Amino acid sequence: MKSPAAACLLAALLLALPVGAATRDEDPTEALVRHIAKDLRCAVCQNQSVYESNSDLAKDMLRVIRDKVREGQSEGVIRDYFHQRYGDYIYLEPTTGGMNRLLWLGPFVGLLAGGWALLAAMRKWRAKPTATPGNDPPPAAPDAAMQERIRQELEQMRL
Amino acid sequence: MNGAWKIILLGVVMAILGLFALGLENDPRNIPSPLVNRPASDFTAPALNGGQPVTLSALRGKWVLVNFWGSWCVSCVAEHPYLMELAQKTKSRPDFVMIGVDFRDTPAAARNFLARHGNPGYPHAMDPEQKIAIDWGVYGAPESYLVDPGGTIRMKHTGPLFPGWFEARALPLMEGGKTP
Amino acid sequence: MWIEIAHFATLLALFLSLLLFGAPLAGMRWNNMAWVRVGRQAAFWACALLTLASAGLIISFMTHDFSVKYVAEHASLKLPTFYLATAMWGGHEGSLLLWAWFLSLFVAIAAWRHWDTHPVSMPWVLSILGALQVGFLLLVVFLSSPFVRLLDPPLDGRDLNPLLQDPGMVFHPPFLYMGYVGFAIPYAFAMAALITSQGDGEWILATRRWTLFSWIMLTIGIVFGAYWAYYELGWGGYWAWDPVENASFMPWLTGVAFLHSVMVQERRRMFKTWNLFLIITTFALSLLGTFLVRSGVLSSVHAFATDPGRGVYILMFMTVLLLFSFGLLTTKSDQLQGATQLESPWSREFSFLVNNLFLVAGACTVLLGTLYPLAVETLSSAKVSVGAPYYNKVFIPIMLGMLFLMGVGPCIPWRAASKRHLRREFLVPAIVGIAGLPAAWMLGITHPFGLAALALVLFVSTTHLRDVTGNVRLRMARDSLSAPAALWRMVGRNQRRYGGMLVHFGILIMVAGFVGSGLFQEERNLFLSPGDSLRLGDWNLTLESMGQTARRNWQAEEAVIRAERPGETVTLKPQKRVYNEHSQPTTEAAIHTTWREDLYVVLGDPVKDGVWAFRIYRNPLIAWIWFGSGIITLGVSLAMLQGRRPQRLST
Repeated sequence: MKSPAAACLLAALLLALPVGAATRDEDPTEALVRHIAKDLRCAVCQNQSVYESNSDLAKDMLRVIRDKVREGQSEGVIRDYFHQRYGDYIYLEPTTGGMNRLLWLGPFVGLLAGGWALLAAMRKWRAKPTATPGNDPPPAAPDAAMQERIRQELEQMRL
Repeated sequence: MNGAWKIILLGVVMAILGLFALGLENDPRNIPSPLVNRPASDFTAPALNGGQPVTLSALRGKWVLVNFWGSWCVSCVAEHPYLMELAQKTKSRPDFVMIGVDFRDTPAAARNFLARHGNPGYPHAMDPEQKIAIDWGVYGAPESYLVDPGGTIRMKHTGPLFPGWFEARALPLMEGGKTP
Repeated sequence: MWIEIAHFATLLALFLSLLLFGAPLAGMRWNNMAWVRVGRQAAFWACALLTLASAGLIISFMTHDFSVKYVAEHASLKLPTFYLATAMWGGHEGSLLLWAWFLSLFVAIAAWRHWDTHPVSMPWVLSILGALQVGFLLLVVFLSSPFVRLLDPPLDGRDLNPLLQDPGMVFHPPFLYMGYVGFAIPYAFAMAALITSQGDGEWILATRRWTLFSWIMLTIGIVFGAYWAYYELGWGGYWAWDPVENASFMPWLTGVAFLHSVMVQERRRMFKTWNLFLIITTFALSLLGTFLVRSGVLSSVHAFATDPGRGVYILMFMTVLLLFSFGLLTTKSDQLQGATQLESPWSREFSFLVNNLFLVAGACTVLLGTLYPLAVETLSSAKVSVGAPYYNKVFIPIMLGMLFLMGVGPCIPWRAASKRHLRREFLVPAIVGIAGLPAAWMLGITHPFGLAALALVLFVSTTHLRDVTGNVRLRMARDSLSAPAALWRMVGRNQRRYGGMLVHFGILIMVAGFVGSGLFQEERNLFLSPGDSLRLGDWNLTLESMGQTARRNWQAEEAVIRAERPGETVTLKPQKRVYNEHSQPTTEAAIHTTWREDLYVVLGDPVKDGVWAFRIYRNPLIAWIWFGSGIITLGVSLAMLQGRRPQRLST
């Protein structure tokens, strides 16, 4: 006993399958299905998209997307359909408004702030008068072996 | 390291730890559904018992508890005794009905489940490809929705209904709903 | 029987770890070296006992002792022997024991190797590592015990999760754990240096090999995981940016930052506090990630089975560790004021600093993306997802900056570079990189990140190749050697430098793989019945037949597909397996790998009699990712060969 919708889908699939061996290519709508399904989260998975997940829910969601694409619905309409039912959670790519700006801009702001701090520190370090422009004195309390190593290193600083 | 950096560093560490502490309290089941307070989307689906198809809008005028379940679902077994009890207890209420939506399931398996764990008696809609379930924003089973007499979803409960759920959660809404 | 021995051994090891923690402290308090030696012996014996415990658990698996709960849940009579032994780390409890065993092993090695060379810091190192070991063993013994017996043992077990019955998954966790746990040693030395106020960098020299070892183990672990995801999960990709993956990637990034930044401290005695910060962060992130995954804070919606007690314990452990480490860093670091003197931003020191900035920003991005959903969920009533599209848009540009610095760092001189020098080193590579842009455009790369990545790959490989050929030529002229001999001697004299360059080449190869597979993947999703064929790229694929096949613990539907292109014919056999004890079928993708591309076929569900759904992918250059990681391993091994021999300045 199948639901009418399932029966319809099956019938549609069967009609789409010509008899006998042939060279096949995927349905032309499949690219759009893939595009939509790759940006929607499989609701029960850890960060996997509907397209990539093997879970039952993802397979059924993919089928719903496919039906809607074949009915001629646009990407925006289909995304809205899932968003109305599952909320922001369904978008793998978070929206750019509101609090999410922190998420999108934070890394770049951090990078700029870090770069600025580096340059500021650089200016400070350069301003510091350096006693000897040569090599730093050896560390305070290394053992004799360490001293020897440093001496060797200093000696070898020529190619 | 100067003072500002120390404060930032320790602040970030404390913030992350605090987040975890609060996160431990999070109930992963507690997912707010954007469907609450929106009109429930109607469905008509074949009934499990083979009788008349189950139509949600035919139940307008009553509070409807829509319970999504499947014979493959382990937590549904745990929930089942309460559903039996609730169905028994509310049989006489004129303003409350229950329906089940059995999704991703076969009629044979579902009948087998009801034969083993008891049949609460209310109708079940069959949803083999979980079209209704996805239309209702369902993640897994069991999940339940309370629809008001006007056909608006008023509450979603994720996970098994617990004993006393009706009195604790549903009745306040139903009584509040009568006198808005 | 064996499980009781294992249980008892673990309890004893816990007791000895307490001794390992306490005895060196007592020794320092009362100035008695005997106590410290007791701690050292405790480390050895704890390692031996945990070896016994792990062996006991493995033997319980090998003997099908289903009265042990953990065995009953993760094995079955029909599970092949190989997976039976490795099922020991197939679940949460056993993998924690494996973790504790690695820790005790590394602690024992550290206690053995560094005993004579580091008398001052050793008591602290032992004590800190002892505390860590106690923390882990408490978790193993009291909150996630793999030693629990069942009162009513089943006749057969529930079998190992089919996804884990795979060589990739067998080797993924041990390597990853070795990476995580390995960072504990440099961490402990760093903390000891802080406590004893010896932050001058001896700890860095002492733990250089540990750091390299941990980092390469982490790298191999991550790549194994990616490879496993690629051929076992059947979705054509290898990295999904899920919290578990991110958890392993964050310490990897800060680990890279640390490996570069310590070179500056070694040579110029700068950035002492920064290096301490980096190693503490790297180790903390190693723990954080695993704990995040195991405490159930970040789990998917319908994964209900987490033990609240475990989460609380893990949080307490993390709190103590983080507050102790960072608290110590902030209070003691002022005593480490180094002679920081940066002369010019056009110097290797500064390029390493910028490199660190980008890597830490990258790690923070991953951390932000991983924790953001948790923060939103906790602080508001909403729920959001942060998936691959976010990382592709935010993380990749940061790493492109990193790629640029990779070309600059090794070839810019220490201290200060003159304009003439900069021009000599970087003018030609820059021209090559920019000239690559139109070429890339003609190849069909139109994505800005793809174009930038290709130009940068050209830039970096040119700087590196010019450096190598230049130095080889110099040696050939100076010592009148043949080219291979000059190369051999040059690399032999400075394994660290050329090992590092080899790692860079490996990264470049991987980047080519990322770009190729990321931008040029082609896929088809269609229904086929036997006799049908399709074209994909220059391949002509024909479904020849459908059949069944079976092994001990699974049955499978198997498609036989003939793939042909001029001069090459291969047969691909993708499967859809159902394991006896599990209802969920698993996909076994059939993959034909060439250096140019992978042909990747996944068998889907049956549509009707004789008609099956298939997903067929062409993944260009994906093998370069695995190959590149092999080059990285070689490079790090080369760099590890060189002990503490001083590095020579080049050019």
